[in-house]
Amino acid sequence: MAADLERTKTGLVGLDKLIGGGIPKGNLVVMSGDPGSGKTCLCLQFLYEGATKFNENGVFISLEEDVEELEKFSTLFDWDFKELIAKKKIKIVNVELYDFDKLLTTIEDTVSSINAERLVIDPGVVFRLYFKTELEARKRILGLGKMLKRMNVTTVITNELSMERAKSLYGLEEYVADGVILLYHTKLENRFVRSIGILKMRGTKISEKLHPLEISKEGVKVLSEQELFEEI
Amino acid sequence: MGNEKDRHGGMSKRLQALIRKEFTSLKDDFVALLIVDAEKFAETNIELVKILKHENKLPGVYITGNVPYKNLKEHFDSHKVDLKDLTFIDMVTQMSGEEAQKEENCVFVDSPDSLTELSVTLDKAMDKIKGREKFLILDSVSTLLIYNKDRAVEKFTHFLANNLRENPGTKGILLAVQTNENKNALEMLAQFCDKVVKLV
Repeated sequence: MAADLERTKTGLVGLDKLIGGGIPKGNLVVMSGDPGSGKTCLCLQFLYEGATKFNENGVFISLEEDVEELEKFSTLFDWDFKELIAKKKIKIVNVELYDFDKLLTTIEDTVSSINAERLVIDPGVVFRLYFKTELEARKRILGLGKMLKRMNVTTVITNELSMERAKSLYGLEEYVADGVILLYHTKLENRFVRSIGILKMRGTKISEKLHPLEISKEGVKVLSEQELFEEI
Repeated sequence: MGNEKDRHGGMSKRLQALIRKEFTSLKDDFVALLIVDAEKFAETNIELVKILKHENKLPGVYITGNVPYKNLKEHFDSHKVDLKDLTFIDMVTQMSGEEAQKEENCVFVDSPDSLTELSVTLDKAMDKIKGREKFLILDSVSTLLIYNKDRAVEKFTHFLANNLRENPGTKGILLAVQTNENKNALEMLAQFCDKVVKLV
């Protein structure tokens, strides 16, 4: 079944191996991770690889960090985002937290403005701040998920892990997301260890193991041939 | 008999003959668990490396979890072991707080409880060796069992043994000193190996 689907290669060779060659095109993936686990780095890399290797434009919707901060962050790696932004291959947009409808419009407009095939929304955990009640949050966030799927843009929404459990995105991950990727940055007795696991990926045979991650100037490297031996 | 020493190297002739008998006859790939008495340990690793390197002319990787690379190198040098084409992975130096000096043929891992880091480092070291025929000596699984839970070492050893088998031409020797505490764990690990040799 995995071979039949058109896939968006993340460009991270190890990750693509774990998910049958890439994220099924147009699917929505929630990427949950501990602070420092490499979520933002991996998302920027997803867009960078798309623009440079697969000629797929991408949009980064930042709900927290300024565009300048993200551009500065990207300079820690061997990526030239400025050039890609200048060429309109990538757009990074910072959206202020006061109007959810404005967020939806910004997403639609920005994606269509460069015919983006990849989208990142970071971090999804702040969605809740748009709403007074949990019920309202749940209804509208599920609506966002459905809108993204209609747009047929391959989307990654980041989420936070806390006390080894993902904070809820109000049903998005359970009911709308096609995939859930978990990134761990776990403190062991005397050190930290980074790892990745695939909780689900629609239409895809996935690895059920945790695999180690390395972060270097080249970005995130998923060591798909390796396993994590430490208990986390 | 245990006191009978070779004039040149101090190696017990009986032990030397036993190791030679067990390992020179192995023509193809194998993963062996070699259980040795603690007092024979230092002699055994010398003899093993000599057989694999000097006689079979194989390049290889030596993982040291008991003695820092610096001391092990001195030990090998004093027994005239040729260290060319031998890569070391040192799990001891950094744990002891000593600053690891950059060495051309040694890679340092944080500590014997960093099994994932060890696995990744080993993979890279084995990949760097050109040619099909190579060897790995893990010194030792008994040390790994001190620093890790049995389950984690079992998982690691199983993964390691499978990886070695997937690379034809690779000989793997897992050294161990048997104690009352690790007896059961070693029995479990023996299941992942093609051969168990006891020099006790």
